Amino acid sequence: MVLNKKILNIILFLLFANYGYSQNKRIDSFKALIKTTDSLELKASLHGSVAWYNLARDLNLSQAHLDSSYAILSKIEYPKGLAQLNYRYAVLFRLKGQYKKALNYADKSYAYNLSQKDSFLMANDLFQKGVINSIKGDYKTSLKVYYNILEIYEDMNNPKSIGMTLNSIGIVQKNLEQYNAAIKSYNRAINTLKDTKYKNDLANAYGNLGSVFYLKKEVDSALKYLNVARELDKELDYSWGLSLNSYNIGEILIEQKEYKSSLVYLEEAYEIQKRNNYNTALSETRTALGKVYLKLGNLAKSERFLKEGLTNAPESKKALRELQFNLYDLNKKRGNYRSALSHYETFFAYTDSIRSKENTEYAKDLEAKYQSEKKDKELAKQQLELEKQQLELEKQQSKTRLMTGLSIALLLISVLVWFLYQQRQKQKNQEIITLKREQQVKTLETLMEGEENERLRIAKELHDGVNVDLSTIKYKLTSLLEKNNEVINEAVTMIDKSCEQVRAISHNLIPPALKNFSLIEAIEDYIGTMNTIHEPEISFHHIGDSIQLSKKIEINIFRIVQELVNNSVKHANSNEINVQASHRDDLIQLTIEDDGKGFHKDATTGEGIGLRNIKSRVDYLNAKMDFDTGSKGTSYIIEINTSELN
Amino acid sequence: MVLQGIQSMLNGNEAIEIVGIYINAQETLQHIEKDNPDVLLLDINLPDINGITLCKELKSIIEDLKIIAISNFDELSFVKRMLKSGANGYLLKNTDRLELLEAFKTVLSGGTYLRKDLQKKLLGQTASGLKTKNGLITKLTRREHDVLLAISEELTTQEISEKLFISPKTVETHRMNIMSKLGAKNSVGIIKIAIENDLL
Repeated sequence: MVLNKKILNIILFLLFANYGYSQNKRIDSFKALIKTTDSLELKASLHGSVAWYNLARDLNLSQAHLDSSYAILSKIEYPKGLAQLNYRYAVLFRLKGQYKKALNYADKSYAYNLSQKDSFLMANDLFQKGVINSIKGDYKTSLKVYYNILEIYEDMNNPKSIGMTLNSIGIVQKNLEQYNAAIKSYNRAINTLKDTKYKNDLANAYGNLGSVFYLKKEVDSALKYLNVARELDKELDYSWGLSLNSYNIGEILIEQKEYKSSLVYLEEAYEIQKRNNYNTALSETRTALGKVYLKLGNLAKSERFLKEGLTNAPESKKALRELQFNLYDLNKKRGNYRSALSHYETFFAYTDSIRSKENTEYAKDLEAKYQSEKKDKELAKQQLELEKQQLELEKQQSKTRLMTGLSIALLLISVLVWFLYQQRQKQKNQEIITLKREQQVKTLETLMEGEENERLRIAKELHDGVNVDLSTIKYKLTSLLEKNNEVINEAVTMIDKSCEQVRAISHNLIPPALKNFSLIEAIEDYIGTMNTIHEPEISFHHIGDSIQLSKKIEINIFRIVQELVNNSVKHANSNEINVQASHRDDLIQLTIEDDGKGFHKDATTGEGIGLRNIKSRVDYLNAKMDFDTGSKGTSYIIEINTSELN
Repeated sequence: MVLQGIQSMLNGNEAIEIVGIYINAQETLQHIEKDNPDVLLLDINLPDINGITLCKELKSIIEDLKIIAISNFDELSFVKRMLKSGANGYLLKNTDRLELLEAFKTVLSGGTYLRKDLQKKLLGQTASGLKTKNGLITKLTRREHDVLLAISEELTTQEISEKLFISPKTVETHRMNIMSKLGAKNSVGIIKIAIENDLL
């Protein structure tokens, strides 16, 4: 749980840091995160990071942060953090010059990393030890350590670490005055680093090479390489390296007695070192500046620098020795012989001490520090980079996977939704169509029913009422007929006619055969009647099976025939009308044909309306109507599928 | 009412005696044998049983009973059915004494009595184009004629349907109708009979 939170926070701050902030902003972000985070482990780590960042700037601030980190770590169980802290303490105390403490911490860190079998971190610890030993003057041990480390790095194929180690080896060799060996090492370092991005280490190598050449008294080569190093430093904005190389060049130029030019470089070095609190290096530069101003005859300035050097005296005996000597020289020039003598005695004491113990302590101190500090920083940065990259990668991967999954799911869902929607639409449309049709049918049925009912009513009334009365009257009259009364005869004839008409109307309205017998017989009756009444010759044929359907349907068909024949009789002016009904399988085919004059299909007169009526009856039957009209006559063909009836 | 009317018409005639009056089929069946009339005036529209069915039944009971149907319906369908059921005559309810007597005379002498106009109607129906042996064939409709021509041109059903702008099913119906009308058994027969009768 806590670990997850830590990882989350790391991700957060890495992402935050990923916006390419400069170093300062990064530290600010770290500091902000220290305040806000709940994770103790993360807090401790962040203190460590801030401390690490300040190692090159402000050692006291750095130590403060390391102490904060320790305060947290001592309360929680986080051995890895503790080991890292120990390592940083080692570096801090080394830079401060407290070598015993430094070695102590380095051992602690090494012990943990050994238990974890982390060869990379083990190498780091060893490197620190190597540097410290080298500074202490234990060159043999330190060389051994360095070669150990070099092997580890060569296994890991890490050019940066290889380069750095070679640099360090070179420094030791230089200190042992094995100048050619040193030059070899440095060249190796340069070759390893030349085409990589590790320009800082490359600058170091060049600087180192320059120093060695100087020691070999090959001034031109020395200056050449030192300048190359300096240019790289400038490019990289690497203050530490720049100050050191400028200092070295300054020193060389002093030797060459080019004091004015030397001053330029020394001033540059001094300025940088002062700004960044590089105290150990600063004392050397002060000494050098003191020397130069003395040579140039600017006693005041010379004294100022030398005095500064005294007040800020480092632990290193060599530095102090140099100072003393220069103070002696200054006082000599000034004519303060007493002071001069006292200074010289101090100087001599130092010389002895150094010669016996740490003769080149300072040089190593500087150079080794120069190496290791850079290296430590780089290593840590590297680690951080790796972690960052890893997390980034993982995050990217999972992000991509998630996005792909989501988009596929989304796509599928939207397709499904669209599809379902379409289905629903179709269904709805289907329902609407069905409803409409049902509505239509219902309307038609209602209309037709109404019509039929009306006809039935009239027919009944005529049949039962008027007709009966007329018949009765006729009977009564005929019994009077014996008297041979002409008037009565006429009356009787008239009544007959009325009866006929009434009957005709009644039966015309509701064909009795339809109710009692069959459709075909009804049609036959109707045609027969029409034939008698009207001019044209109307014929009817029935082909195929008999027709037996629901009364509603049969009435409908009858009405169609009635209407069409009526039309033909009234408007077509024909001689012959042919009516035909065939029933085979499920198909009833009605044909009504005349040889009249035809008519316009689009007539909006009574004919048109009559046709519409027929059309709606045809629709009710789900039937097809085909009609044709011309000079030859008119013909209607209606096809009814009995399996498709309502 | 009708009964009264007829009664009054016949009352004056000495030659005719009314032996029985029945108001429904039941009564008729019960008393007919006992009464044994020569002629029965039978209304088609009886309350209980259809007059047509009753007629058939009566005829099966008394074979030589003469039955004259009386009805308000002058529809041929009714006439035909009654005659088919064995009726010997058909009268309308608005008949008169003269007609009644005429009907009786015809029927008793073994004939079938039908009013002139009914006769005409009946003949008119039968005459209009039933197939007879001397080549009188039912007339083809115009559409049927088109189809016949197409068949003679050896077109397939599909081709005919495309040519005449009708559905193949319709073409088939026409073809069947033609076959029925001409009395052919297949397409070949159609052509043959058509040619024989100058239809092509």
